[in-house]
Amino acid sequence: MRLSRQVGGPVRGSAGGPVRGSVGSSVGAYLIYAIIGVYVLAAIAGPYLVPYDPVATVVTERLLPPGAPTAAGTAWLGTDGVGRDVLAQVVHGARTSLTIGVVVVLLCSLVGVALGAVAGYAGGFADVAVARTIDVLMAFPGILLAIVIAGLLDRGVDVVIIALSVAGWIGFARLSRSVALSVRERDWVDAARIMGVRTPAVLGRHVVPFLAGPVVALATMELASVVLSEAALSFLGLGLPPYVVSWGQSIASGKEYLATAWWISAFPGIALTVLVVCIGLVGDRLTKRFAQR
Amino acid sequence: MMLSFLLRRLAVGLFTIWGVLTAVFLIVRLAPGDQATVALGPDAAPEQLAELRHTLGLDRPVLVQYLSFLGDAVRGDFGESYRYGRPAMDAVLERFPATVTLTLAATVIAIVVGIVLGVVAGHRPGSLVDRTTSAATLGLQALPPFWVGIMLILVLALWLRLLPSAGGGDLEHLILPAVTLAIPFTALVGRITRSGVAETMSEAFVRTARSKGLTEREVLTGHVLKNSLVPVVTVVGLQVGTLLGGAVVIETVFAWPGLGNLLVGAVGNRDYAVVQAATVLIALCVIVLNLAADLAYARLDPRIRLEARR
Repeated sequence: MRLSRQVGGPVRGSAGGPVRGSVGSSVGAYLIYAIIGVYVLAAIAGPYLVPYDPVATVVTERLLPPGAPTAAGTAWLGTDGVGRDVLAQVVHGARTSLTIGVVVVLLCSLVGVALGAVAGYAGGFADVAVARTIDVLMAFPGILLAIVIAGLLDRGVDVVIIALSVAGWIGFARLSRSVALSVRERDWVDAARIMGVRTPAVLGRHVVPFLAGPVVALATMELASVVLSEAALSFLGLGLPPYVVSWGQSIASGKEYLATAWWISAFPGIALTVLVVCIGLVGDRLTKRFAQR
Repeated sequence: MMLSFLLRRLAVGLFTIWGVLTAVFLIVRLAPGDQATVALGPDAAPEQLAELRHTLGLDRPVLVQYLSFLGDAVRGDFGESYRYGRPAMDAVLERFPATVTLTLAATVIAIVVGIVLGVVAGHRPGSLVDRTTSAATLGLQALPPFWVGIMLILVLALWLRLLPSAGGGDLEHLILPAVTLAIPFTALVGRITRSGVAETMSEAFVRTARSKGLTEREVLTGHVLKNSLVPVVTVVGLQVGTLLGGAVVIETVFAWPGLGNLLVGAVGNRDYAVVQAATVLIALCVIVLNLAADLAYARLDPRIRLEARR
């Protein structure tokens, strides 16, 4: 995918300048960061500004269209099948999505980088063990494994985090393995080894620092995919307990009323899509930047 | 040389199947409530539970249960589905063709549309068309498929009444789920084709083809496309398995009577036998597909065979 950027010819922009055809100008980039900032703000402060009770039902305010007046004010994005505010669901859902996404990505990057670095640096049995484990996990396509784990174990945020992390570290492990493999042969690593530096210290001081850039790029891409997977799990009604507000759950609850109240599914889905697309665009920029080195 | 590569790949494949079976066994073991509690409900008498556990063999040591699970699984026996009252594998195999149909349809759509998009974009790298298409494919790849599915139902089935919203069997019902499933894959194929074509466009032989007076269409179909499709073939081979995973969710959206729909229902009902049978079957498909893809590339490219010897 990045080949075209490396080959010379008419593809490139001016040397040193921004590559044409990448994600727009810096204005576009600021816009993307601003949108993500809004989501982060909504996740942190939103729940205090927009109160929401996930179990409250107001039968008289069922299925109100966007902009309709309610007892509590105005339902800017309408209300759902039991009279709950859709805007509040969108805001509270941002907190759920981002919290789970960030925790899963942190967990996966730590585990993945550690396993990959050890596998690549030590080689031998460690390498084979990690490789075979990855083979097994890769045999479960997409979120199949997460569906089975989250669906069969008890409901809970922790279970969802585990379910999404079980296969989420693979990318990080592969990345850090390949970097560790190439760094291992460098002179300064030999020098450190000859001077008697212990293996964990060699890994920490001389191998892991080379991973920082690519890992951040990959973590961004993973964040987008974890947010998507969490929404898909919640959409299927698996994993999260019913009192935790999530976009996937809202989308699923609106499917029933699609013919009469499209807004219940539409708005949480738009919130999810915009967030995932923006994170993906940032990830794409980062990947291009670090892949060129 | 090819034979030893084949044998090594087969061994890894068999090991992976064992790993998959073990993982599936472990997950069911970790789930709260065993088959007996699920089948009899929360109000069952302890004697009844103990009796059913004995019949199902759940009172044996875990290791014995594991070995007998492996033994049965190799013969395709994952036990009886308590909901359907028949062997779980039968129920699963009955739903399998619908999933294969859906996955194949999505693959065909993705390849055809993706390659066309990629050629259009990569033909003039950096042009407005290229930048628009590239941005669009990047966005499409990030769309949540299940939500796109619901929006397609809303617009095409409910508002415009062009297509049925749910159900399965005929071509009419296939269109929406197949398109939904194909969207991210189309974007991926498009992006890869684009970079392949863009790269090939700057090759000397393209200049030669142009200067000998071929039309642009002849240059594209005769010289560019063939040379830029190798990475596409690679990715398609490796990603068809991923589509199976995507189908699990999409089938639920459209009530498509396939394996995924069955699986999600079985997970909700804690029908362990069906969950195990369906999961193992999907994993098996992925393993076989990847093995086939690996062998195909090894046949095409001797460097891969050498690489694997390390």
